[in-house]
Amino acid sequence: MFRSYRQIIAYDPLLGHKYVPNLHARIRYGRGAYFIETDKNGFRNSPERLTSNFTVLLLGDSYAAGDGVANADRFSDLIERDFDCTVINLAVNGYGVDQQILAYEMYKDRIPHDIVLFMPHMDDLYRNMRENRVGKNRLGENIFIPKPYYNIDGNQLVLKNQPVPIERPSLKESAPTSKETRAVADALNKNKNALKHLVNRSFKKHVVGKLSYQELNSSESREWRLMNKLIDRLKSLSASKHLVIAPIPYNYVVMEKEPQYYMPFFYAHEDKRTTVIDLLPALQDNYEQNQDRTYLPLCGHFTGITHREIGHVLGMRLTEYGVKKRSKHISYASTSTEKYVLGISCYYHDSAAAIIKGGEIIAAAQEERFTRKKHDPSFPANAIHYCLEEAKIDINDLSSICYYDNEALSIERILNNYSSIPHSKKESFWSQAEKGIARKLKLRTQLRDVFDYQGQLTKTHHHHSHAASAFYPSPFDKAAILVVDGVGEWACSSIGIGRGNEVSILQQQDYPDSLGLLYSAITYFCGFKVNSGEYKLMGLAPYGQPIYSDLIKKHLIEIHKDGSIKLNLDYFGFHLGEAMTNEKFDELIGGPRRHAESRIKRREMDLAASIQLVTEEVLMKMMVHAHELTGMECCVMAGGVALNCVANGKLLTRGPFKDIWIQPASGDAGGAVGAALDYYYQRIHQGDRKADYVQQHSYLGPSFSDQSIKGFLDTLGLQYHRFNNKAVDMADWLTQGKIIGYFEGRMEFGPRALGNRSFLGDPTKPQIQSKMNLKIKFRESFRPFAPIVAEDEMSEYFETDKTSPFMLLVHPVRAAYRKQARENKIDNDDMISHVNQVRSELPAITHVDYSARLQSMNNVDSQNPAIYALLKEMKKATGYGVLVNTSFNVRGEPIVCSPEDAYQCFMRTEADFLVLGDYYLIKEEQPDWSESEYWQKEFELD
Amino acid sequence: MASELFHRNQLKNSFWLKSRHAHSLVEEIPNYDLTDIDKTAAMIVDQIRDHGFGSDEELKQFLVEKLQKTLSSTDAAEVEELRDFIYEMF
Repeated sequence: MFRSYRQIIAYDPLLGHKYVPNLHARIRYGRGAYFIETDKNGFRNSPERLTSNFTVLLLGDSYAAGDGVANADRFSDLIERDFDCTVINLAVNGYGVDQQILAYEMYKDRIPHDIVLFMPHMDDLYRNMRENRVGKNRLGENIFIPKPYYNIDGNQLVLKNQPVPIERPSLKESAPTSKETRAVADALNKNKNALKHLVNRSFKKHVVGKLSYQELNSSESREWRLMNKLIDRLKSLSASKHLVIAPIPYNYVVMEKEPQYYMPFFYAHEDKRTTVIDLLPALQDNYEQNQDRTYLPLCGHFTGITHREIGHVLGMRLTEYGVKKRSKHISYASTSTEKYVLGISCYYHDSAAAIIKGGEIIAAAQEERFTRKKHDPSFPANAIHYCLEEAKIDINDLSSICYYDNEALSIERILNNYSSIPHSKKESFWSQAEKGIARKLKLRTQLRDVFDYQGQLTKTHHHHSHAASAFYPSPFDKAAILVVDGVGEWACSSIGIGRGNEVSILQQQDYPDSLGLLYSAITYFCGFKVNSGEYKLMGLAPYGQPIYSDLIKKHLIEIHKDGSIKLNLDYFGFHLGEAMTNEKFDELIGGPRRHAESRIKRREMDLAASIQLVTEEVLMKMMVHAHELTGMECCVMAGGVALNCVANGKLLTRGPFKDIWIQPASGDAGGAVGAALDYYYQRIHQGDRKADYVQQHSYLGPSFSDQSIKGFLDTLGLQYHRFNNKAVDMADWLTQGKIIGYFEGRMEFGPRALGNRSFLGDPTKPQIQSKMNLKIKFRESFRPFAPIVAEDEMSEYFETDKTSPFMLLVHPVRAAYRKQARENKIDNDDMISHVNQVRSELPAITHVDYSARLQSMNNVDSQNPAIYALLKEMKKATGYGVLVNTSFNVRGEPIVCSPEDAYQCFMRTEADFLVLGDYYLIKEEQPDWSESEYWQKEFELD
Repeated sequence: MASELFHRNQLKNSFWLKSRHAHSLVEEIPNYDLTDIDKTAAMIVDQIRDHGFGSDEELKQFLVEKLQKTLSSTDAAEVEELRDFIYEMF
């Protein structure tokens, strides 16, 4: 019902739970969403407030806290804007009166106030009787959440369950014990679908609303005796303050005009400093006028309309205490004229969303990080939600949403393909194609159904999106553009030009003549997953000899001197909706493809080396052609092939351009950035020049505050510590050979972890590579790890002076730091013996060909000062300002997004320390980690 | 050497093609009426024609035939929403 990837509520030992402090979160609710903000104490109070000389402290539960509406739309905040007073809201979702009173006791002396406004809901009569409440954990499972409560012992209230237990047992473990109750529960469970038509307002009102509550009309009931005692305690605590009691009736009492038994029992508490307000008449009038707009449909809490009504009633009563009505309502409505554009890429692979303002990327994220499905191609609902949260806007405030691809042209290409293939292949081809087509046509419907989006929906072209993502965020005012990927609409590679505010494509190569698809075909043949395992093939290449390169050029690809290519489709199956390669391909190579997970042999190593060589040849020719065609000095690149960082390093050092900038999210995810930028520069941007913005980093995803992390750790009851000297401590652990799971700041956008969601190690330790591969990542041991190096030391260790903040360039380790391996030439199938040889002073990041995939880091805030500080400590400790960096995930898993993901991943691996912001956890101190199923099955191997 | 399956308009001595869209064409995504397959197909064909591709009645009929089957799939988002709703209630 309420959905957020963030932790909203956290454990509190005295109160049971509170909101996470200093939160700014967007909560999805049905088709809509609302923003909540919390203060430093963990209550829903916005930082921007009107001040006054009269302060009201509000106590209550979710109705007073404002579940389902934004802070600014609640009666507590509305009162402030109509009446000259401040309302501090201490209400929390799920609180009983016991917790409300304890909250008051905790904060009454810290927050100067004039009046206590106490708003118990009638359901609190029952909550007060319980030592827990039923809630859900983040997996959606029903659990018991412990709470403090009071018993009456003799005539005294006795506080129980404090400190509140941390354990939150599952309802499954506490299933009904009586045979009859269990039978009813089982029957309901079995007939959930059949009963769904009953789940509506009428059902809730007539079945849920009237099942209980017979005790309401008896002051002698246990429930009322306890409530009366609690109110007496509140009166005692509030002492010199005036207490206003405004009970909140059940919804059905309002809607059905049921008799309200409860008010006399509250009136009994009235005295010279206690006032009771009956809200029922106003709520019933409000319902008469607004009917279904009175309560939120899914949860039954107040709508904004009802909050306004309650705010008016309570505000007018406050005038009795000298609070003045303002001469006019003070609006918080934003007067900003900023135009935001949301870009979306989805339905192929790596779906994502990005939001820009004034040509600047405000936020971007891949859907896989939230759904935990690697390369998730689905509609990026979670990524869109995050982008809107970061921009602090509603979806209908957007100037436009722009999709990165033209569905009509993609369909045309698919149909053209279909009509061109033999009749016997058509059925299988269409079965592959149809789902993609159906999805593409439903984008508008999905935006409406999931987000209630009513605004403009536009589209651009696939390679224009890539081109825009590369040029506009680049440091160049004008540049050649090279886009190379598998296929988008028709285009497989494009050459364009970016100048000022304009991107144009000059030439393109169309499907099926695709360098990207050729690379993917050989990825497939070598037993890796297409659109995922290409970087493994690149990592495998240095182990082999390019003995197949001539064969590839003779039979599979015709390469023109201008870098244009033509594939020989006789050897492929992708255009028939079949496997990437066919039997003829097998015959050409001399055997069938390698089965996934089987041993990698000499043939795969040589094939990897061969296709890498061919790819570099084609790319170099394309680049020379682009240089001649455009006459530009600089070049920008995007498209999946631009992630081939081995080729990139050579293009930079040996190619015709003086400088190259590569979009770090070069794959389809980055198309979301390009689509938004393309729209912005076509429809919004004024002037001939680019906006004054250069993408300095890829930290464009969600961040989690230290309070949020602490809330997570406390809620799980985990043992943790706070750093005194983070960089020094971490360097000490690393030099002991420990592996650290490092989680800090905003998540990276794009395929690479660049130091905020990373496993870190000491590169001078020879055993780190195999430990990280086999005990941390659970993946093939041949795969190299990348170094993060301090920018001011980069040229000392590596043969380059070109910074590489996005880990997109491979350069050799300098000869002075190399060591001679026992055997440099690999002429058998025993790859592992070569992997584990020491080849440099930095063995853990030196590949078999003495290369390294660099990420350089400087000391400016726009990059990553925390990692830079660690690099400097590593320099002191080891003599090298270098770290081993690999993404914080296990094989097949998306990079971690939240503290919860990070903890889970940490516990599944043999990593030694987990750093979460300013906190750290030691593996040895953590509770046993057991999972009911073998967790690695959760992730499809890539 | 390759199978000649696809229409081409190659430059001389090169497999590069002149781009059909030198400048990006940001345009509105039509409001496809997924209950009216014939109309949906016509909308797609219109767009294809606007981009300079083949666009005859045969193509439209072909699309209609294919879309009849394709668009009958259940909307995943609606299913998910309903599932969440039911789950919360029980």
